[in-house]
Amino acid sequence: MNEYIPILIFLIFAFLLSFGAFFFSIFVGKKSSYAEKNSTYECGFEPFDDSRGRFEVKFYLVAILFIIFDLEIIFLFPWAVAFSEIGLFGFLSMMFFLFVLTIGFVYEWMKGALDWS
Amino acid sequence: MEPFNFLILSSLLFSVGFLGIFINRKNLITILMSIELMLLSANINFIGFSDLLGDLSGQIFSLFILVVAAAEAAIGLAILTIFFKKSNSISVDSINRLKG
Amino acid sequence: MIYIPEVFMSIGFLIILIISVFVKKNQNIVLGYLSLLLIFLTQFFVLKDIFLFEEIFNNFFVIDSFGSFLKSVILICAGFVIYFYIIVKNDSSLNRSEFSMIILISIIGMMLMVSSNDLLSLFVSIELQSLALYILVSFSKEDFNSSEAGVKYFVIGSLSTCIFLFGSSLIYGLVGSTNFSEISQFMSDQYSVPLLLVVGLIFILVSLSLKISAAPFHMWTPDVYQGSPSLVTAFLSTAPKVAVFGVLIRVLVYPFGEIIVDWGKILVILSIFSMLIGSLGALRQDDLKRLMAYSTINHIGFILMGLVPGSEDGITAICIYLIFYITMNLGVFLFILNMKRDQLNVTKIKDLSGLYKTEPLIAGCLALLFFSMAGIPPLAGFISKLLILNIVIDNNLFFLAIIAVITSVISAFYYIRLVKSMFFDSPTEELDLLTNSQSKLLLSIFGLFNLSVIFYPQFFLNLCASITLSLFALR
Repeated sequence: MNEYIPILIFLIFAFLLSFGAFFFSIFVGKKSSYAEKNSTYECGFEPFDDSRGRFEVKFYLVAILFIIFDLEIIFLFPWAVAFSEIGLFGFLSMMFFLFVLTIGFVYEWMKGALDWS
Repeated sequence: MEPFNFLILSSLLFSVGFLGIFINRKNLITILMSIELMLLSANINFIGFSDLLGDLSGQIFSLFILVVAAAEAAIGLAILTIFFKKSNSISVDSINRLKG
Repeated sequence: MIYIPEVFMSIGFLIILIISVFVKKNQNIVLGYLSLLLIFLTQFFVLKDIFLFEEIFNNFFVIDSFGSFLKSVILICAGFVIYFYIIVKNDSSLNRSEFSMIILISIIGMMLMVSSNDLLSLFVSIELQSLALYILVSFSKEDFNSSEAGVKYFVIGSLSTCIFLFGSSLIYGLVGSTNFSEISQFMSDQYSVPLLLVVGLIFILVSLSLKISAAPFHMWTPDVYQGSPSLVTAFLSTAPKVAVFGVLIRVLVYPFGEIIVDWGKILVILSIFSMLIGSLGALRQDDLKRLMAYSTINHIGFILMGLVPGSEDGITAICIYLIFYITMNLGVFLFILNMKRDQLNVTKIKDLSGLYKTEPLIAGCLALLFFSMAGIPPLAGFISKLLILNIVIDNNLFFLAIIAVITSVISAFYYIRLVKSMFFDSPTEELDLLTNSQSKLLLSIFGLFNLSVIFYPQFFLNLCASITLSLFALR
């Protein structure tokens, strides 16, 4: 049973943290309401519209950029699982990988691929 | 033959993807989907064999395939948009300028 | 670690990538020079350790002189292409900062390809190379043909990737490892090789044939060559071919050397088809780039012949053939890049007519290159073809040799037709004069090289023989 105690602690922390953030923002945050905010959430579109209409290429560009960065993170899982065995070399390899990824990100940022307008 | 059943599944998926590229006459997006299907059929093989052999490297291979498939889909879609901008169509029959 | 050429190149590439953001739009030439510098330095690192043998990254990659030699050839190809990019005035579509960047990425992929020692690392590096090439082919935003060629190349390339993966999954399942050394070990332990393993190898072979455009897997080649910008075609017809041949040789000779009976026959069929289709298909072309595509297919068939016996001499001959083939191809494409009428690129064969009257020097050099491609003595192309034929006959493959000679004669016909139209036809509309003195000089150097090789063939023979030794001796 002892092995599950870390999980219990983790759950308690997760619970406290999320509820804390939730209630904190209710009591402390500034509240203002406008039409956009109160309407149904839909990322960037009119919420009720013909679903077969074309949408902007910009969405799709962001989606492409996202999918690459999203999937590269897959490599972190096996790395994290084997972390205790791979030593300093493994750690530095992953840091180099993340560094290369960051350079890619900086490049697309500076090229203006993320500018919405 | 029991433990090799996944080979039947993966070969079927591979064939469906393969036929999807050659029979399909309508839509280039379908070709992208077929390619994805073929890549993932290889993935099934790798994971199945990895389980059978008790060897982890097959699963690592499949992770690499997933990442490369994403990059390939991104580039394929980008090329398709350029093509669409020029020809205003993504039907397979519209790829007919170059021949001789 | 940083002295490993690929690592050095990747770091240098990242630095140039960041610099490229700050370079102004009309100064992309600066990036070309930087890339050229990087290629030059990497070449130095490659040549420094050319006789080193080492297995690195848990046997994922192997550094040996065969790989280092091919890396050096690939770097030379890429260097020339980037130099062409600098000296020839490009149309605006190529004039973007990404061009030399993507060429750098693809050569990193190629360098990793020729030194991979594991199916996983091979797969990832092949993908790195081909993803970059898909972008290069569809690089011209203004040109419809370029994007169409891009779609075709992408579909065929991805298909080839899928086939490769399916094949390697079968091999992994039977061997229990993807490493070449362990596959080789498995092969030598077995009395009879399981059929599924041969199927896996055939899948990989088909996938690589799609990449080198060996017939009957060549259908995409003419379209892609014609559609993509000429500079990209020059790159596409040299560096990736060298890299994929390196992979083909390494895969077939090392892990699958035991089942030469199985893959030898397939290579015979591939090379016969390639030579026939390459020479017959070119006869009815009117576009110079399309013709070069068929000529490439024909050459690929010839090169594949040298691999059929799987012997050391054969691979030596292949290395020599590859060196001469890239000089001929780069020379011809340098001319195609400069072929303009009223500032617009033209690529039809009839545009060549009467070139001798306006540009005697260029016409002479071009004729030398075409004759060399046709294999007319005493030019470089003749020596390489002779070496390959020698190997084929030594191994009693007379049928193959006869087909090779017949197709050579047919292909000589269309090369000579080009030369005839340059020298004896009267010009219909004249091309723009070639004002670019660097292009002129470089073209004459390519021509002279092809002419002068006959005086020192021993140099190339010794070089390539000592290179291929590493593939056999150290294992």
